[in-house]
Amino acid sequence: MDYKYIIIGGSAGSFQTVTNILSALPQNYKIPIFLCLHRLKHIRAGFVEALSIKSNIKVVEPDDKEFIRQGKAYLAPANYHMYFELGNFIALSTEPVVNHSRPAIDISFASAAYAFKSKLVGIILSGANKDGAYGLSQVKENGGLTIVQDPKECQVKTMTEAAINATDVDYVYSSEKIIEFLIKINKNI
Amino acid sequence: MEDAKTQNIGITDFKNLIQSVKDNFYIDFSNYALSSLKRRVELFLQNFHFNNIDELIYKLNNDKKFFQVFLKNITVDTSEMFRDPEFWDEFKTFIIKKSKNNTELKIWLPCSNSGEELYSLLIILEKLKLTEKTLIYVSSISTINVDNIKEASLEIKKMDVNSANFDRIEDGGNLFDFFTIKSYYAQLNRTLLQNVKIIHHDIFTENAPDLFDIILFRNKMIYFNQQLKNKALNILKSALKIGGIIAVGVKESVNYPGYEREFSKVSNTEKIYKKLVTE
Repeated sequence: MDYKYIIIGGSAGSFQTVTNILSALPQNYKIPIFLCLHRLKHIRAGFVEALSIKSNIKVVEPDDKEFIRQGKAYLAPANYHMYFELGNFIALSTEPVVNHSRPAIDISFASAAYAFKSKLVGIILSGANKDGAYGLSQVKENGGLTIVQDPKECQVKTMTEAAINATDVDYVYSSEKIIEFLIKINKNI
Repeated sequence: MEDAKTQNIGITDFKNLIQSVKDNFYIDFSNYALSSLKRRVELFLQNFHFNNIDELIYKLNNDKKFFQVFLKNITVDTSEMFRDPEFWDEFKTFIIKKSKNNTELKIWLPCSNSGEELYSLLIILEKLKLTEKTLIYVSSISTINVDNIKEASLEIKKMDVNSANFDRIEDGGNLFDFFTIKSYYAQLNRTLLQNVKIIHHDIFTENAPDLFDIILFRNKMIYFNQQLKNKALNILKSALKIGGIIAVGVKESVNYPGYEREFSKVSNTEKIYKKLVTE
């Protein structure tokens, strides 16, 4: 199967895992990665910089209607929901919070699932609420691949357990296995 | 808080709805950003218990008041006051500059669907002692939104985030000095609204209400596609005086082909642009 987009959702306890993933991927990693991570609404600066320190691929906070390119990771900006438009670009919104969150993982995942269908891999990492469970179910329903970080290794299990309960997920992987898998699918691009 | 889950509607159904609204109410949503508008419509169907798009189209066409309820629910706006406190600090300096060169300051907030941005501006102006010197137009395509903005009453539970943002502004003071608490609501002091005209208006079909020194247009274009975004900017450009200022959202840009001849960026981080002399 050829996967062309990866979307990762996480909140409490996911920062280290995301950093590990970004630092383990090779510099020439092609598949665009969307990161929807819960973050403080009012703090605009710092997060993308923190993720960039160890990342081998470029991490950006997209502008509205930014075209999606290979070789980049796109971090959902503070206080915006992140959508994906047909035609391969990102759209932002200031709609009300969902699951107490903006960006909400459910919105980004459901939108990516609708836009990218079977070309999408959705991954839910450690987190403290159930945001992402509905979104991951949409990834599955639209033919994408679903992966959840093994709750046993998560600092906070709520998000991964909610995702596993809501969807018959394809894989429950340790972060090491997630990295291995992401590197493997890049070879097919 | 809103539901994450929505009932997916098909593209044909969605287009039929947009066409029907255009034919019957002369509001054209066909160049809105698809993903967020589609979600708004899906949420509306769900929350108002419609089984399908045809039921909704029928109801809209036979109940003009209900169309206004629909409009209110599918339009979006900034739901907090002083969103991006850094913006307000920067914007303030431009207001001060402009006020020095003008006897009256004309400001427009087009496509407003809630009052938070207006109330933030009014408080900034009051703190700068410029309330008397300004004439502000606020416009919305929804009559319910117009009425709500006029009410200037915010739910108390929303005031936490408003107040926290206000505290992040330089010499912010106490936000509650500008409000009167009435049970579950915070009422903006009416005197701040003395020079504000809140009108029902569609920027795409009606002429601009005046010529302006400042246009505040943050996080509006994110709901448009590129084509409609360029159209909006072109319309607003004509409504700005030469040397006038337009502010867009931090994740938006004035970037249509050839814009450099018509605008110069005067704040990089806060996306504030100045209209140049063009002939």
